[in-house]
Amino acid sequence: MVFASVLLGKLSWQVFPKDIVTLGAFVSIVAGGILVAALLTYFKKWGYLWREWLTNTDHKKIGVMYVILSILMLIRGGVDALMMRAQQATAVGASHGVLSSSTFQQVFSAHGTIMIFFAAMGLMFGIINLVVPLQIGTRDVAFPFLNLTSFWLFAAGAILINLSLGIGSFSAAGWLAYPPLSELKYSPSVGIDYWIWTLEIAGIGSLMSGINFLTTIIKNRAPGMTLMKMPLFSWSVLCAMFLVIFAFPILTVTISLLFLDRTLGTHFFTAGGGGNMMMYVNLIWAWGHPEVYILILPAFGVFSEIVSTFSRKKLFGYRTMVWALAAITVLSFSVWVHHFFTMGAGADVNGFFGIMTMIIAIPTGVKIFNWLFTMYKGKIHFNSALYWFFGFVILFTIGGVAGVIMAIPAADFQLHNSLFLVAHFHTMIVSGVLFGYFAGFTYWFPKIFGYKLDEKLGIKTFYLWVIGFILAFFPLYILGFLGATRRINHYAANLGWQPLFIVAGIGAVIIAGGVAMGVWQQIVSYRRRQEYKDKTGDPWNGRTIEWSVPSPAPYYNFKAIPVIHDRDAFWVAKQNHQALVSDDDVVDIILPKRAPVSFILGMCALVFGFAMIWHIWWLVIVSLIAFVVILMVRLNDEKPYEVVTAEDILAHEKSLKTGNVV
Amino acid sequence: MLYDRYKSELKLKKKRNKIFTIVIISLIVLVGIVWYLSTLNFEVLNPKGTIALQERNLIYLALLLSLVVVIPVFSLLIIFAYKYRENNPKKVDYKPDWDKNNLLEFSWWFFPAVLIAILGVITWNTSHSLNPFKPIDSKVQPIRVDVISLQWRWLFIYPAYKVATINYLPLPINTPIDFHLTSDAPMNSFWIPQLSGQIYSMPVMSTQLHIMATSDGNYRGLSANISGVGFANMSFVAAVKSSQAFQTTIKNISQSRQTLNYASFLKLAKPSLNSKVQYFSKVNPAIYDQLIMSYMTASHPAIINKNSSNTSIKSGMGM
Repeated sequence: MVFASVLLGKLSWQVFPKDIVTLGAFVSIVAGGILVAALLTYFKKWGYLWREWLTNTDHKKIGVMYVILSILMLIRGGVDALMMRAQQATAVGASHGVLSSSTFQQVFSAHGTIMIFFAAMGLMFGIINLVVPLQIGTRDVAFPFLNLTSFWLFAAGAILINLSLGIGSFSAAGWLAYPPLSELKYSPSVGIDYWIWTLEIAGIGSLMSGINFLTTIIKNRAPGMTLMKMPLFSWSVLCAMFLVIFAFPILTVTISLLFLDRTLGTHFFTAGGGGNMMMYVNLIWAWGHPEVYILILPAFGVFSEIVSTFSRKKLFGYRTMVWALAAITVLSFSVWVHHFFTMGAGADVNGFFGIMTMIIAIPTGVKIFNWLFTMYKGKIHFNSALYWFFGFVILFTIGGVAGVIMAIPAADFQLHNSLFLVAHFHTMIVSGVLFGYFAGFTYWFPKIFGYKLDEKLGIKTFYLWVIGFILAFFPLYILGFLGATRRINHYAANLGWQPLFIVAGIGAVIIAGGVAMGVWQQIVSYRRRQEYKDKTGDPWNGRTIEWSVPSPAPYYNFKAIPVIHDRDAFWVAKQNHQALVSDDDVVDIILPKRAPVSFILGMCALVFGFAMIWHIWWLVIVSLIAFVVILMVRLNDEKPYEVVTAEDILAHEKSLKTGNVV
Repeated sequence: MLYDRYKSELKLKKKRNKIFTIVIISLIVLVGIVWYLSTLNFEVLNPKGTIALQERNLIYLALLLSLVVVIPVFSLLIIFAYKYRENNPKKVDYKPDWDKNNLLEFSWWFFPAVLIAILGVITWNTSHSLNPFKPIDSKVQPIRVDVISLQWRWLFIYPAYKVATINYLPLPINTPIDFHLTSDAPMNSFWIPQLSGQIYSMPVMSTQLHIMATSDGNYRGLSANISGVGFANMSFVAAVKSSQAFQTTIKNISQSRQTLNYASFLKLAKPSLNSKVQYFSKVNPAIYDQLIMSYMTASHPAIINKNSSNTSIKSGMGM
């Protein structure tokens, strides 16, 4: 027995899920994995996958991997959402619905965690990876090896959170796991530990990505591109990465302290023993609020690019846009208490944070007016990317009004923790963050893959999302006024809420249809890729320099780095009938080598996290040592790059023109 | 010729019929929705107490003020998108390089700022006037109720009457109520939407909430913060009564055979999904303070009698 507990920690035969829903979910994920592996083997694609994708440090490839993984996680989180909707539509009066209370609580905790950390964050880092180096005129990020390692830490977190379906259980304490509920006394199972280690690993990946992109934008801009000549998307990423660097360490430390409470018996946040749970709530939101802006600022950046491009007009009020971004960045650290006005901080504190929260609405409003006036006296081309923008403005404004109301502490007392709040933040995150990245993905897709996405299906996807969203979340605003709280797995029949929950469920199904339509759009567009081919590299009549290179962007991005004189450098060059660079500028360059080590480090982190969760201490030590040793060996690589000669580049450029390269 | 005209008229008629049908169907749906919603009790918007009333009016006021920004945004979006569309047959201005106008930019920094300044003043004032810790001005002597959230039910102690209840909260009308809240469970949030906004109840901590009901009736109370598997069942009835009826109720409760001291409280505090109403007489009013102190002095059974299968405090200390 002692031997087994040393060898396996807390693992035993008891850990497999007993309820059919969780087991079914896990089995289908495993079956999906086996199917993919079988297909890869059958088509002999393992080598291709390993060399061209999993170990490739090219930022564009990493970006694509981020997007694919995030969409998979979006689907996983979406299934969770459908289960919640099914539960709340049926669990009324005598019926207790389809899920047990504890499964339901795990489902909503997983939904929140997955959607924020893996769907939204992943899409954000995906788009950033795809676009930023191309937009600021560099061949790759500042630290390509670190970039791939960040991705694999992100992936390790994603694997770990899905493992909780089949081995043990997940947290049932909500996506932010407030103590004392998340302390050992009230949550003795491994659920919270899965949550902690998922976020520790993915969070460190995010922090390193933040450092990487901040450095890239500060150091690697093309010559002549001063900060005030930098495209607004890159500006928004700069601000967001600044927030990442300051916010994510708070998350890492906070959940580490929770880990210490749970594992070593410390009393940082426990009830009694000198612990202070309110400290946790403050700390987690000191990360959590900037996190919201981390997600949304790059989406704002995407909209700035899209509105300007499709209005065929310069972005209105560039300077104010930059200042608004900067203002939001700074202010986002001074509003966190609005997440818990009801904790009883007192009138002065609540009043201060309420006012700060409202002040943040000013720069956000400025951005919206600037976008609208970018359209003014433009020539608006209604691309599907722009549809997402229209949906965003309408929904985001409605959500913003809900936010301003809740920023008043005394009004928030009546709305906090209600479904009104749930509807509010879903409005902000779905219409702001998701719509933004969907728009960005549509917009930059040709640059990465060389062909455009099907427009009609894109517009259909948009309508399904918007109609589904309205049906799914507007009933929740109403339910909030009816006094319905979030996270309830059951309610009394005489309240009369059921029809609203059923409508919300229908909305969720329509959103699922939107996701399916998006996938279908990918399939159809791929099949018609010859027809939709982007032959010029500039499918939208773009303004910024990423459109000056061929599509798909070659592995070295630019045959020569252009010198920048204007904000819309490519647009101006086109107006003057000039090329940004000529073949004479091409020189020998260096590019980062492949890095299989990143993948191995990610897997070490995965094993480490798993061992920590299950208290398999020998494995903790082994995986930690492996991580450090492998990292050290890689860091001592004297030549982590390879040389690409000017001839190679020119030959590749030529082949792109003749179309010999797929 | 005649046939063509006839055909086109038929087409037009069909189109009209279609529009007519759509309008009728949407009207029916709309009436149905309005009728359905009118049967519901919008608890947040249907206040029965002084605090809830002010909070609702505040929500309306903020909503109204926000419309000052929303309406221009929506109008501009629709007008600009329509007027400056690429395939607009009318000739409209196209100024691809027009990218700044100081007056315009100033206006949308300035006017929203004015609006926020107004809202800010309202925010600051109401944060103070509706501060849950602030006693309510009234000539009537307030009644103190100690609220302890348990796993997963509510214990209400009336120290002045030495009675207590589970999941039933009788309150006298037009009388200020002085709630003191703590928890012998994870964080909960105490909320009776028709009487006032919510406040957290937390172990070790003591929060306060002052309310006054202005109309008698039974109102739904609940926990708004996730606190474990039985969380959704933590609802109770806040029964607002005339002061006579309230006194009678208290008298009835004080005849209950169940009594409550600290030892029996600890038994009562064990996790339970039984949400049935219970009455207690001869209640020791010191339970509330004793509970909070037991966490502070680490004499609470949850702290001293740790289950040995858990990582105990002792082994933690030994590390």
